[in-house]
Amino acid sequence: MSHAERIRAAVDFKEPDRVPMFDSMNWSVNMAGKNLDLIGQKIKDVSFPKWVNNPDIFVESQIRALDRFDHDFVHSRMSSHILAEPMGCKEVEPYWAVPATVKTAINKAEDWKNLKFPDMDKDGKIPTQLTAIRMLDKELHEKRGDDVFITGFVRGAFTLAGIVLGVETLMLEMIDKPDETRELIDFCNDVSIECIKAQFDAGADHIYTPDPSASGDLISAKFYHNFALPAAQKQSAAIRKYKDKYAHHYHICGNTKDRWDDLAEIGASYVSLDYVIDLKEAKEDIGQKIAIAGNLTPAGTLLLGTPEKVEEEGKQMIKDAAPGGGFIYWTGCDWPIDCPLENVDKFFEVPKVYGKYPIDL
Amino acid sequence: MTAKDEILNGLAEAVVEGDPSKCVELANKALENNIDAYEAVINGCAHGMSIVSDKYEKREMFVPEILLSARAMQGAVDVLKPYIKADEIEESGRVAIGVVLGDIHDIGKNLVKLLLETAGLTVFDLGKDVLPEDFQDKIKEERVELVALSALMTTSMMEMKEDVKLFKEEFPEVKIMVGGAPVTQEFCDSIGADGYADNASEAIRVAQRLLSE
Repeated sequence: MSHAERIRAAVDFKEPDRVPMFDSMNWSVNMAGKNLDLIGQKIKDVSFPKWVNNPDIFVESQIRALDRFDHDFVHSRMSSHILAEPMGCKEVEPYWAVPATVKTAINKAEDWKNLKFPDMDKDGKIPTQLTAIRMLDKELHEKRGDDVFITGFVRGAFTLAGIVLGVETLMLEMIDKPDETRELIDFCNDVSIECIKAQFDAGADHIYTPDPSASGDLISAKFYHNFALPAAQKQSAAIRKYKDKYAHHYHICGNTKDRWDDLAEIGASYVSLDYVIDLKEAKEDIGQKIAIAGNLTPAGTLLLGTPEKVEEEGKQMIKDAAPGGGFIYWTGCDWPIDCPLENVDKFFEVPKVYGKYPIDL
Repeated sequence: MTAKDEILNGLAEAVVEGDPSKCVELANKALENNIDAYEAVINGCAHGMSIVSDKYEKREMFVPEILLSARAMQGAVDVLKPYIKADEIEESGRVAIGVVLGDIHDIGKNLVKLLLETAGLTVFDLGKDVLPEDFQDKIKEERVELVALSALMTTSMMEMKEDVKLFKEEFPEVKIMVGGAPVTQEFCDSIGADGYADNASEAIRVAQRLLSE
């Protein structure tokens, strides 16, 4: 099966040839230049800012990652929030970390009217991300005829609202000014949808929309239902309408068991769950309604564990969630960029060894 | 229930409900009834926040509700504070808290700070993206007994490891606790920190335990 056939089968709850694998995200910075020899060291050949500001270096590293690991997706994310800086936030570019937002754009929900609606061709790192997607599309889809899923990226609108306003302010504004807060989230959604369309136009197959501020560690199921869910549904509907039913990966952090019914109603192609979630339990519940992805422990296992520990946990994930399809193999949150290569190699080897259908574990 | 108990319990309840006008009203009522202002803060406001902390742990309250309670409590504290006699305040644990260098995620840290303060500890907040030398200066200047380090990113966990090593060398008597989404008990043990908490409520218990050791 090709990469895309494998993903589509899994999303449709059919058993593909093997469990599809999401990509190595920002860890792939280690595939740039001579960085692979410098894992764990302070000085790198290609720094993070150099990586995200040079699409040629970035794209080359993504292709190297694809060639080494043969995952079914490739990545294009250039910043923690991509749209925050263009909307008026301040962003910094640490030497060895994803560019991060350090200053909010507004202090009150009603000030959403002062936010900038970014120009997708000009503002912040959006054009660089779009260029990378175009280059990946040309190199992989066109030249190689490889249908690997090129993954675009924006934040979930609820989370983006928390970045432009400040997460703690958002928490209180939801109570103090629910209407204005909804307007802010809606504006963030409109911006994100424009950016999603631009990424599809550039050649993306798929959009990854992590929504960490909607986490069960921050807001109740009720607030999720009233604020985050409608935003996620609107974003997801726009993705489906512009592309297809395979094009949306929704990620949420933390313990989300109390909102699984809502997560199943977003309309996403699949939902990826945090490492704190018991995948077996998730498979028997939300996993019956919508495809799920996850959830190897990023820090505890992938960063600090051994290849044996990666194998053991990865195998268990496949055993718990892969039978019957509806499962995409991934980590349970963002990739630590300092993961040792032997753990990463093992991570992507596990589905090739244990993830062939029919699953027999 | 005596009138005093009724007022103090009411105050705690108003904090839990996050009701600012009720908090101010009951703080004033406490003063009118000659309840000691310090006692009203401890057995009314702080007691309310400890209930909030328990409810967070049980997933009955979340961050918006906690912030609402904290804001309501502040209203009562503002009323009571001018009447607190300086010699009344018990010397409690002295804690320096901050998010380690390279990390700007401070919601968790702010939550822990809030609950540590309401538990009666003296907290020095160094903010986020904190240089190790700023922690060191604060430890010296303020006779800090416990350092609480937070990290939300795996890259900054490495920074945390270096901080712990540095502080343990220079201030072996100062206790160090660590927390943050990717941090685990295993990681805490491996870097030689004294305590780990999985959530903000637990952080209070860990801090109190470390300070009493």
